[in-house]
Formats: sequence, structure tokens, C-alpha cells
Amino acid sequence: MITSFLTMPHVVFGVWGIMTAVWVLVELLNYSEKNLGRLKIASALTTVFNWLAYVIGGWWYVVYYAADKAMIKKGPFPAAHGFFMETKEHVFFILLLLSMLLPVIVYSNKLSESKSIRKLGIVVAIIMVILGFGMEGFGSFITQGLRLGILGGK
Amino acid sequence: MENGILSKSTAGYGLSLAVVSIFSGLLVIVKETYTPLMDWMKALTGHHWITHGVFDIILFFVLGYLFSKSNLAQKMDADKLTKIIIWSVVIGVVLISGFNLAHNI
Repeated sequence: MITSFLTMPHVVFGVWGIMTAVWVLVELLNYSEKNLGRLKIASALTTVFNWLAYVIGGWWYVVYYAADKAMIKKGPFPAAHGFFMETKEHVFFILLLLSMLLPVIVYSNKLSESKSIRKLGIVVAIIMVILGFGMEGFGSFITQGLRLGILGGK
Repeated sequence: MENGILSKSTAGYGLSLAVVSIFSGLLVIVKETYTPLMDWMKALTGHHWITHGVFDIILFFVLGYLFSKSNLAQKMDADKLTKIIIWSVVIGVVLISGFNLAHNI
């Protein structure tokens, strides 16, 4: 049973990754030289949290997911693996790369001089929030597929 | 003052992200439909998904470094890169989800 709880940090860091992307978004929408320090911290944390979600989720997926996968595929909702997990595990890589691009945008440009570059950062943060919520939503479908598999469709 | 000129690293790693997003989507399709590639990716690290992630991350850093060293930043403004990133992410996500929708359901 303890292995079920080992996915919790993956979910938590994923949510924190979304929250820090929202934080970056808010700071960029209200940009001034005064909040540049907070913006740098938020963008760096976005990378850190997404990497933690990746490493912890990846470790759990590689070590423990095979048994869950078998249970899902035997159950009444095999698409929980076939579509939702297969899509989630690969789309996540794009989210991870976006999380590394965000601090590059924040740290290496003079944001005060360019609305267009701030807009680039805003768009990257928005895409991250959309993909992040997608990951969370797909995770709930996978959990539901496992639950139905264990309960035999009840 | 409006200045949309990107730093070399933003232009380089931004374009690298665009390339890797599409590469990653195509790799899903190719590895799932060409068994020898899937087997090779499994053999390389023990799991095809680990290998896929390693390829994506290494390619992102290598291309990002190479693009950053080129004169790409002179040709690329922030608005153009924004559009490239949006469309490459859309294409990557559609390739992955579309393939899984057609192949697994």
C-alpha cells in the first residue's frame, strides 16, 4: 500500500510547478524593476518543481507502474493507460523543456525594454499552466482506470 | 522603448524547444510502430521512456547550445519565436495525443 503514496510527491511537485508558472505569469503581467527579483525566483522554482515531478514520477513509473498497467488493461477502462498514460508520459517532456526555457527568458533578457519579450515569457507560462492542468487531469483518469480495474468495473 | 531583440540563449534554446517538441512527437510514432527501434531504446537504458527522455533533454541542450552560438538571434525577434513555440508545442501535443488516440483506443 505504501507504494500508492509514493506518487503523492509527484503530484504535489506538479501542482507547485503549475503554481510557480502562474506566479511568473502574474509577475510578467505586472512587470516592473521592483519585481524582477521575485520573477527570477519564481522562474527558477518552476524548473526545480517540474524536474522533481519528472524524477519522482519517472522513478515510480519505471519501478511500480507495470502492475498498475496490467490491472488497468484488464479492467473496463483500458484507455486510462492506452490513451491517457501514453499521452501524459510523453507530453510531459515538452512541459519539462518549457520549464527550462522560462528562466532563460527571464535571466538573459532586458525585460524592461521589451514588451514582446515579456509577452514571450507570458505565452510560455500560459502553455505551461495549460499542459500542467492537462497532466493533473490525465493523472486522475489513470487513477480512475486503476480503481475500476481493481473493483472490476463497479 | 520597444526592443524585441532576443538574447542569443533565448533564441537558441527557444528554437531548440520547438525542434525537440516535434522530434519527440515523431519519435513516439516511430518507436511505437517500428519494433527494432523500440527494442533498441529499451536495451539502451532498460526502459524506452527513459531513453526517450534522455534523447529529448540531450537534444534540447545540444541544439540550444549550437543555435545560441550561431547568428540566429539576429534573425529571430520575440514575436516570431512566440509563434514558433506555440505552433511547435501544438504540433508535438497533437502528434502524441493523435497517435495514441488512433493507435490505442
